[in-house]
Amino acid sequence: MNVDAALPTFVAESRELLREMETDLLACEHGEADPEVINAIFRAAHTIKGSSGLFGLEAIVEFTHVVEGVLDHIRDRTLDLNRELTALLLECRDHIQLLIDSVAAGGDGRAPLLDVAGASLLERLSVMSGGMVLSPAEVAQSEPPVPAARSSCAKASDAWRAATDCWHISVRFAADVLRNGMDPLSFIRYLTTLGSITGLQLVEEALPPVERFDPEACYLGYEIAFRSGADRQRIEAAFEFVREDCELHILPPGSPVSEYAALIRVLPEEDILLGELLVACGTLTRRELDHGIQAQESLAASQQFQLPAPADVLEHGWHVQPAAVAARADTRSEDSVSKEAKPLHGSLRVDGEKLDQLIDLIGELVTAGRQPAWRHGRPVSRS
Amino acid sequence: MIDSVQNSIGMLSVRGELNIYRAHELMQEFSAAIAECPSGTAIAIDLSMVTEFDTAGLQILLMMRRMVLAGGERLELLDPSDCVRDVLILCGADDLIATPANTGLQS
Repeated sequence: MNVDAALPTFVAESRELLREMETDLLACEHGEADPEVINAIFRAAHTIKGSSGLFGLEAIVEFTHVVEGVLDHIRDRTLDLNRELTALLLECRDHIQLLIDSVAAGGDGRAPLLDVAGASLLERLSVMSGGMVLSPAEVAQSEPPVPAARSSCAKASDAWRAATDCWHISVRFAADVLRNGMDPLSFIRYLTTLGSITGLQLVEEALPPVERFDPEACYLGYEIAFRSGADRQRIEAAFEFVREDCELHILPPGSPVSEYAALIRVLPEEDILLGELLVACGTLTRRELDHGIQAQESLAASQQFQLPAPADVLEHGWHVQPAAVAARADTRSEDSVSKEAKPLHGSLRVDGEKLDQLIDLIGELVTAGRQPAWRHGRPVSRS
Repeated sequence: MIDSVQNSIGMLSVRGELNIYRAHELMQEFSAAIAECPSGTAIAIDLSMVTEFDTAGLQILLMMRRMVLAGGERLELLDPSDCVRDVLILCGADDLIATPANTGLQS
């Protein structure tokens, strides 16, 4: 998967951002709460959150989202960055580092100890911010979520968790496993020693047309609903011998609906088919699926929302008043000039900036949804 | 090879292993048998004497189902041995197993 290939870049960039965040926070601790420094810290958290969301790393999104909220209040000067809060933010930074380390080690930032440590930090943030940001427990209580002007799509759907009490295991095996002497079925059977498979859907979409079918290659995958008291590590260990030869995704019981949606996006098969498989094996209800898909669609829509570059507009013959084009070209070039002139993160690679823009676009989408005129009113002027 | 044709159903049978070790051989044999059948012939495979069954075997059955369905006909698995039945049930593919209610055969 391309997404997996991009993961090392994500890890490297996040670590770089965290290093800068540490330097900046230490500077603040020594009394230099410069607005630009605070802005840089905020942007680092924002970028890590956004990129994590694109990789479906909900544990990091959830944690960083709250940290970002606190930083936003500091930026707005509605919250004072005192020594105590700086120290706590440094602890939060360290925690994000642990989450990223867990991703680097093949995990997804979810582990019992990490979860507990993260929850405790968020609780303290909530207290120290005087309730300006909500602790996870409070977020859970505040359903249905009311999307505030600033909240991202991710937050709105995070609050909705699937009702299932089963783990969801999604696994695709590499073509060579059979030739390597392993039978995927034996791993599935082994699972039943750790709990019970309550729903299993065979994914046979990868089977090729008969003339290209190689009887010794493996084409099958499985979507499995699994009821078990075992923890993630033990479930993962069931696939230990085939770990290098499979794509394995494990979601704990009652994960946010957005995580299932992210899984559907990441898997190679058609989204619609996968959605049906997740419903068929009992992991999602139809309503949960629909909700997840809606969130997905708004993400997809945000990608289409990118304004065409002025050159494209001219080439494709939109009837636009030259002044309007010029004005827009100005805004764009101003944007890019200011970005070049004072890069927010000196070491950030291009990919990261693109991700960042995308995240901003998602935010804009929320606002844009309320102001349709923004889209329709401006550019076209025929005479 | 087709063992016999009864009521427009081509009968096949497998003895012993239906797994990775015989995957090539069996796939060729089955494809040839399907090609050999006059159109409008369903295929039934007697799996009562299968002793080993794995993912490769399962894939072969799934491919056969596709091939037979492509000709507008159906594939039926007759009396699968326990090792086959367990896998088919685990994978929700047990609808392939012929029952007196859904088979055209009088067994």
